[in-house]
Amino acid sequence: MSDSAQSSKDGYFVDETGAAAFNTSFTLMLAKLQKEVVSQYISPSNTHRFRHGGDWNHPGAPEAIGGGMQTHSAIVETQFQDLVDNDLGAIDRSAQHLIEAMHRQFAQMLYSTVSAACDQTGNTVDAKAEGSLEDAFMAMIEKIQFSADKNGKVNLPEVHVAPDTGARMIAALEATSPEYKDRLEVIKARKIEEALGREVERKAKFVCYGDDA
Amino acid sequence: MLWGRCVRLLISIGCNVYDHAPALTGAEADARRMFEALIRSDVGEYDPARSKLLLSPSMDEVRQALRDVLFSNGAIDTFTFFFAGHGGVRASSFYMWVRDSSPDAQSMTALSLSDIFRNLNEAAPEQSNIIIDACESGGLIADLGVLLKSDVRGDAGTPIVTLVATSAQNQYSEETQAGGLGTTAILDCIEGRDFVQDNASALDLVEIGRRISTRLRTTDQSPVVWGLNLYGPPRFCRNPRYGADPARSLRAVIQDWPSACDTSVREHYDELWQTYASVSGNWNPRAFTDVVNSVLSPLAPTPEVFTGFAERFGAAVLERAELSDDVFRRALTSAALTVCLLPYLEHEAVARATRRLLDATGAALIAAGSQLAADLTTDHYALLAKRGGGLSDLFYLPLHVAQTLGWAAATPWLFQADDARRLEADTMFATLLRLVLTHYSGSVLAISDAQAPFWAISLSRAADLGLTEEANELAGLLFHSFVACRGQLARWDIPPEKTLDYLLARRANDFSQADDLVERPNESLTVLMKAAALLGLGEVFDESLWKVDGVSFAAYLNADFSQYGADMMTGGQNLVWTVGHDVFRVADMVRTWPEPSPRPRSDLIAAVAVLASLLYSDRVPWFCLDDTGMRPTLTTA
Repeated sequence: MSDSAQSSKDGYFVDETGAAAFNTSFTLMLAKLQKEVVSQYISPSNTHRFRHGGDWNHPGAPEAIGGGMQTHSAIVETQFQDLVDNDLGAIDRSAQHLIEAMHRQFAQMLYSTVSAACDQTGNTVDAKAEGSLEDAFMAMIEKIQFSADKNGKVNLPEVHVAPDTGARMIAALEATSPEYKDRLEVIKARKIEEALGREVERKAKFVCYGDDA
Repeated sequence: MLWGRCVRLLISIGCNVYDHAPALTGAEADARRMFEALIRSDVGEYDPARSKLLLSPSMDEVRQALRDVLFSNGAIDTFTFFFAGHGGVRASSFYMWVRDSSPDAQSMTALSLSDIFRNLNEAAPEQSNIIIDACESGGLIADLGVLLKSDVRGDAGTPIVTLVATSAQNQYSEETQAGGLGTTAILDCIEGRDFVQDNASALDLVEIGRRISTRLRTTDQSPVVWGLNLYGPPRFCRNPRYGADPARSLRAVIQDWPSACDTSVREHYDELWQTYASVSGNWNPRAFTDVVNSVLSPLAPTPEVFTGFAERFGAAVLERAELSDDVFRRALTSAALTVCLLPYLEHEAVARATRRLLDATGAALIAAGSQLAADLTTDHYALLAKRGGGLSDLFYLPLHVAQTLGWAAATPWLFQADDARRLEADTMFATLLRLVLTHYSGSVLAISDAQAPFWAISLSRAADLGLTEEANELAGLLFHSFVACRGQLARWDIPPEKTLDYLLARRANDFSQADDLVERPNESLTVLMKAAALLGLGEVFDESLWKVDGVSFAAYLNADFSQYGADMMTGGQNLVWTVGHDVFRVADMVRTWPEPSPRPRSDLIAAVAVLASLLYSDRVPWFCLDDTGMRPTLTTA
């Protein structure tokens, strides 16, 4: 053997193809689970994906909030002994750990982005200043702009709250007076009408807008 | 040492100082550089004690040096003469000027090339190399007549002379601050800064001369190269680039290919290179043997050529295998090459070559197995993948455990009965078996039907060696894991990207979504039942057979062992049983096993069939579990 042919051998029955394929499958499984997590917050049809690095930019709508790529990372450790013991539970544990970490980071990113956007536009409600949860809720609904899709369907806003706040808010809303509920319905009806009106205005910007069904 | 005890002598002359000519600045430095390079043991290996470095010498000093070197050292194998300084052609002869040379009396005061030739003719070194870095040194052609005397040239064994002059007859030799251009170019070749060739361990001066001719073409110098009576291997200096090209071995095999077989090589040229390169990377034994077989089969009518290629190609790929990270790659590649010869064993030459390859495979397996045993002793996790492994080892580690035991147990099969290495191989197997049972009992499990041949060979050898406790533990662990997954083993050829799905199904013990990943019928249960019979564990296994009620198991038997390396064998029998239908006890299967079952005609065929089963994993050498006397006999120290 020539000197140049020497190499540091350190593996036995090396099968990098098999290991790589397994790892790809594991990554695909994680990606599928991650999509399920994201779809709890955002409809897949409203999700954009990056093709290359860099912030989103809306040259035709400069007022739109941009945002860019953020790295989410998680580390999972597998003990050598778990592998030697063929502990198949290690797969579930690893996947669970990674997905929980990714979920946490995604939620954090989502809420901090929404919060930053609201702070920027001043579209915030101070529950304490409003005096009660139900009044804060009313003020919040008042400040939210409803939107209608191109089929004329108005999507009502989603409310994301911490579990304990959520329970208190539901209790407070259930205990409200009929007058409160009527007022809320009036606001909703007005917001829906405004949303439909904006959608009509939007469509009117086209040269024509027909029914392609 | 490349040249052993050969006598290799050098005279290196550099003349800066002249009584009757302008001084030079770099000639002495050139002579010193050449001398110091060539006496190095890793470059020229010229004898430093008896070689001479002369700096601005007189004519008498040069004559004395020639006399001392050429006529006081007995027979000389290689003599090299180097001169840097003024030179010139006068009266159809080339003269090298030394310190006291006079332009008006060159024939008396300068060193004539003809004089050196006459000295060489008389002293007759086996090979002489002359390098002249001087103006008009190409004029040495005028002196060649001295060398061409018919009474000293032309016969076999007569001395070899090579000459390189760094400038043509009508040119000046240039100097830079680093030294003469020609000398620098030559030293670059000698010391490996410039590439000449990489397929021989030594260089000759003709090769170097050709190289510097190309290199100096861009300057005003046109070196002249002459070689007389050239034969034998190159001997001027070592080749520092030898072995630098990892593909050198295969290139040599292809270049030296017998012309009668050109077509076969040409048709598979690209595949040969690809498969050769794969040996050090992602290697697949089936892809490898497919290519080798396609080149070998046209050569079968000429067994000598056939075996010649097989062994030479084998040497090349085994050298390549050393570049792999896998300790076992050399052994596995050698095994794959051996299996390629299986269909041709009726030819005596092929049988002899096969025996040699089996020896080489066995030796490589002992080396790899011994290294693994040593590693496992110091690092219990040595079998885990070093790179890119992780969770994938939940599937692949049990396979590697099976491979470890199977290849180790196969090693004694590869040596003849009187070969002491058979005992060494058995000892290695016993050591590895104990290490695996101690540190990897959690991964000693039936997970894929690709493990079946490995279990067959290792269980039978453990039984033969009287390792009863270990054999029982091995069989017990395997049977337990088989029952635990209800006999739902991964198919032997499960796609790697599906192994995770299989593990998830196995984890849930629900294979309803993984039906196509499970082997049906499997051969692992057949192996375990036959091993149980061999080890007397039948009644123990019977207790749990109800847990695999409905599992079918099989055995493929084929009397034509020459097919054992084929992708798909034909003409055999696919035997199949089903637990709870025709088998309720181990004895039911044993009773219905066909007797006599096919056995190889010779130990040689049996050994190669064992290798084939380990390489391809979809065939079990059932004869190793039959008590037929087919198995390797035991040897004692």
